[in-house]
Amino acid sequence: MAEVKQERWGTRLGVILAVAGSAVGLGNFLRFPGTAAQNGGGAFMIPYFIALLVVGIPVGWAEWTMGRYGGRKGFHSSPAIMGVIGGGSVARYLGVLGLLIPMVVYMYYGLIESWCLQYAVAFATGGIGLDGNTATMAAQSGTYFGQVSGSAGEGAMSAGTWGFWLFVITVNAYFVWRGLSGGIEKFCQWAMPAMAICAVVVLVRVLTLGTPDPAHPELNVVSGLGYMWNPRFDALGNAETWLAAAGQIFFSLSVGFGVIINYASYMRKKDDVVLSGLTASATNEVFEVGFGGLITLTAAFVFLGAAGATGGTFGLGFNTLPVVFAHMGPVGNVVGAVWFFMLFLAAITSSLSMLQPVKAFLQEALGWSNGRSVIAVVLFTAGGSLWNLQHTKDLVALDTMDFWVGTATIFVLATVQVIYFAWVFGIDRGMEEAHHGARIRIPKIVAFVIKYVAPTYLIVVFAAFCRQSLGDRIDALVEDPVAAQTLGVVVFGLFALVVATRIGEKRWRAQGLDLDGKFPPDDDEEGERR
Amino acid sequence: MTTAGWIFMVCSLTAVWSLAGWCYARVLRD
Repeated sequence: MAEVKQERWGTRLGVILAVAGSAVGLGNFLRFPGTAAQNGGGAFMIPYFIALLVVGIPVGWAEWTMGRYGGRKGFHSSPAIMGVIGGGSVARYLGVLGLLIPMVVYMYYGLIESWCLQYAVAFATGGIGLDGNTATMAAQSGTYFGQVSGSAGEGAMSAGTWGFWLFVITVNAYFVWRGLSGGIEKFCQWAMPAMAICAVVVLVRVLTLGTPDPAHPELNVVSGLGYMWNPRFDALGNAETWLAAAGQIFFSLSVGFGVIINYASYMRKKDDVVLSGLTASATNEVFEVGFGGLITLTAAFVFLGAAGATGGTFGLGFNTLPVVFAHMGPVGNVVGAVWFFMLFLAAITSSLSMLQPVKAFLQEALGWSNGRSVIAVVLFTAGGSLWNLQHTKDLVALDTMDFWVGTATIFVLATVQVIYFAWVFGIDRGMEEAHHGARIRIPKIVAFVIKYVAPTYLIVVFAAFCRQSLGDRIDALVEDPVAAQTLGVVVFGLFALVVATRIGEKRWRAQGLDLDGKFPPDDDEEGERR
Repeated sequence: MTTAGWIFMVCSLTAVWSLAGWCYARVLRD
C-alpha cells in the first residue's frame, strides 16, 4: 500500500467513541422501546441480555480482532481482510458484502438523517405547525412527515428535503475527506458527549412531566414507565420474543455491518481490542436501555395513552413524538429541537462509518487518492439516494434496500465472518490474536461460544427470520416494479464492487502482498520487541 | 408500575450503567 498514506486513530478513546457512534443510531431510541414493549416489557430484557452475551459482545470481539489482524497485514477493506482471514478468494469475494452493506445503507440512511435535521430546525424555529386536539395533530403530523419524506407519492417531498439532503451529504463528505483521525474521530469525540447531553435534557423533561392532564390521572410518568417495563412472563414462551431480542441486539451493535472490521484495521498489534470492543458495546447499551428505554414510550404514554404509544421506528419517531412535543406547550419546541438534533447526531456518527470502509477500499483496490476516492463514493451513493428520492411513494425503495441489504445481508455477513474466524482462521489462533495488547482477558468460555453457539444462534435466528419475512418480500418483488428495480440498483452496486475487488486482487498480487494470509504479519517480530 | 416492573427497570439500568462505568474507568485509567 505504498501509495496510500497510512491512517491511524489518534487515541484509544477516539476509536471507542467512533465505533460506539457507528452503533448508536435511531434504532436505540425508536426501535428498541417499541420492540421491548411488544415482546414482554421488562421480561424482554432476559432474552435481550442473553443475546448480548452470546452474540453481540463475542461476535463483536471477533470482528475487532479480524480487522486489526488485516490492518497488520496492510489491508483496510473488508474483501482484503476477509481474504487474509479466510485464506483465499472465496472469503475475499464474500467480504465484498462488508462494502455493499455500508454503501447501500448509506443510500437511504443519509435521507433519514436529513429528515432528523429538518425536524430539528423546524422545532427550533417554531414547531411543525400542529394545532387542535390529539386526533387533529396526529393527522397534521402524518401530513408533515409525508411532505418531508415524500411518502404520499413518487418524489412528492418538499423542496426543503432536497436542501437538507444536499447539506447532509456535503457534511458527511467533508468529515470523511478530512480523514480518520482528523475527521471522523474528532467529530465523534464531540458528537458523542453532545448526544449524551441532549439525551439527559430530554430524559429530565420526560421524567418530570408528572400528570400533565388532571382529567386523566392514570396517564402519568410512573404508568408510562410501567407500560415499557412491567414484565409479561408469558412472552418468554414465545419464540418470536427471542427472535426479536436477538435481532435487536444484532442490529443495534452493528456487528456484521462491515464497519468494525474497517475501523479496527487502523489499530496496531499493541493496541487493545478487547476492552475497547466491550466499552463500545457498553456505550451502545447505555444509549439504548438507559435513554431509549426511559424516554420514548414514557413520553408517548403520558400524553397519548397505550393506544398512542405504538408504531414502528418511523411512526413513533416522526409521527407520534411530534404530537407529544406539541402537547408539552411552548417548551415542547425546545425539547423537540433537542430530541431531533440528538437523532441527527446519532445518525451522522453512523453514516460517517458507512462511507469510510468504501473510501478505504477504493484507495486500496484501485490506488486512488483520498480526494478521488471520497468524490467517487459520494457520487455513487448519491446516485442510489437519488433513486430513493425519486421513488418515495410509501417509502417502497427505502424499505426494499433496508430489508435486503440493511437486514438480510447483515445476517449473512455476520455468519460468514464468525465461521471464518472460528473455523478457518482458527478459534485458538483468534483468541491469541485478540489478546495482543489486551487490557482485560476474554473468559475461556467465549472461545466455545464463538465457535459453536454464535454460528448456531445466527443460523437459527436467520432461518426463523427468513421463514417469517422472505415469502412476503419475494411477493413484493414480483408485484411491485419499484421494489424489483430497487433490488436491481443493489445488484448493480454489488457488481461494481466485485469488479473493483477483482482489479484490486490483481494489483495486490502484482505488489507481492500476501493477500491469502499465508504468512504472519510483518510486525510480529517488531511487535515483540516493543 | 408493578414491583416487578421496577425491579426489571432498576436491574437493567444498573447493569448497563455499571458495565459502561467499569469499562470507561479502565479505559481512562490506562
